[in-house]
Amino acid sequence: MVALAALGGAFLRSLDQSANTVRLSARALPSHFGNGATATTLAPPPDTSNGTGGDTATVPAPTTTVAAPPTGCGNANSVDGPVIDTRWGPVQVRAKIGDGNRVCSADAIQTPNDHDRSVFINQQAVPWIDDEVKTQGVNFDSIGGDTITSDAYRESVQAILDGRAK
Amino acid sequence: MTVGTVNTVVAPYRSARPVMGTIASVHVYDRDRVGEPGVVERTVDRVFAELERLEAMFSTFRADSEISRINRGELQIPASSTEVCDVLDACRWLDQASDGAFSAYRPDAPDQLDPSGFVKGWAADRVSQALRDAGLANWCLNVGGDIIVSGAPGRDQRWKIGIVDPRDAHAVRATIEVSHGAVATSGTAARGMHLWDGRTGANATAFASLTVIGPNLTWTDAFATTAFALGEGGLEWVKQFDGYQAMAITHENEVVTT
Repeated sequence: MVALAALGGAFLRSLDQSANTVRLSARALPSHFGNGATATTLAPPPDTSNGTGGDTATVPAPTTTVAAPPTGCGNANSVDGPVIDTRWGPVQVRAKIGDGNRVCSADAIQTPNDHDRSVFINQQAVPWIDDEVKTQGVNFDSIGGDTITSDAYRESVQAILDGRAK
Repeated sequence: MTVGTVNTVVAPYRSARPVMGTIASVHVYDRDRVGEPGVVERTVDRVFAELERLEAMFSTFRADSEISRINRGELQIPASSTEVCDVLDACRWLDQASDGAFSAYRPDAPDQLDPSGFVKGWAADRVSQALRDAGLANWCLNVGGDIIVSGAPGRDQRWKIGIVDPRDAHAVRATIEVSHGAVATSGTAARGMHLWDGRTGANATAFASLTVIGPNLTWTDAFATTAFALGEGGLEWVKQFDGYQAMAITHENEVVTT
């Protein structure tokens, strides 16, 4: 495990400044599509944050840890989610969770009656898994990464997290 | 409105919906803090609806989007919506700030706009305001792996974000803990090569993925996209911006940080 706690202090301090710099920059930017007054020094980003920067002064220092690589699906546990009403109709998903929080498989085991909708849910099912998953090692609140497609989502850890409880 | 610590574990409200070619998820933990029944559900619906509206405005896959109309010469940029002008302005700033590594124009068709490397994070940041406006304090919005959080998930002080292993989408390679703030990752694993270095037009390949942590998702995501395109110098490039950190996963599956 690589702890990066040392980053924390600097990060926290810099955040206190960043809210201000982000706001200031909107004025520093050249106007829309003018003749391209090129800045000779790097300006801070323009403010398109819709006023969200105000929360940032209280940001605690993030910590980053490197997780152990997964060891596969040899001991995968099967977990059935509850039947949940979705915008597509009732859905229930059976997932297999392996070591390292690996989602080995996720299949819809109950699909809506309507044929067209059932095709859709089979392709883009949103799995709903109950709290049991938590005890089996999915210890995250959310999963970040390179944008996944809708199809890939149904077998992703994020899908399990989204469906873990309701 | 009370903001901050959560004394009891609250059953979260969770919802997910396909949008922008990916999935948007919202988890809200202060369900019981909202007096009016259904406020959380209606707010989350509004988040999804606003994402869909912005997708319709910016998608290069939709012939009737403003971006498609600009690309066909049917709409002039000054006549486009405030949202489109804001995004293109920000893209131009990023282009300058990265010496052209970030570009909102396609490498194979330099007169064709494709700001999608900026839009997803910007859109998610923008729509997250609906959650704040509703008085919600403890929530996580994840749009296709780009995340903005507020408060805490109830049982912990911080949100624990797993960063997916670029070589195995079913596994997690690193963990980032964050309270208020954003985490965004750029890479080419999940959808094939879709990021390019605007200086050369070539595919960006220096890292397997690059994650940025920062105060707001607009710039966190924009910096992740830009740093990934910059390649070797990307981590240092992010470092110049106060409040933003970067972490890359190499093709050898090593984690490198600023």
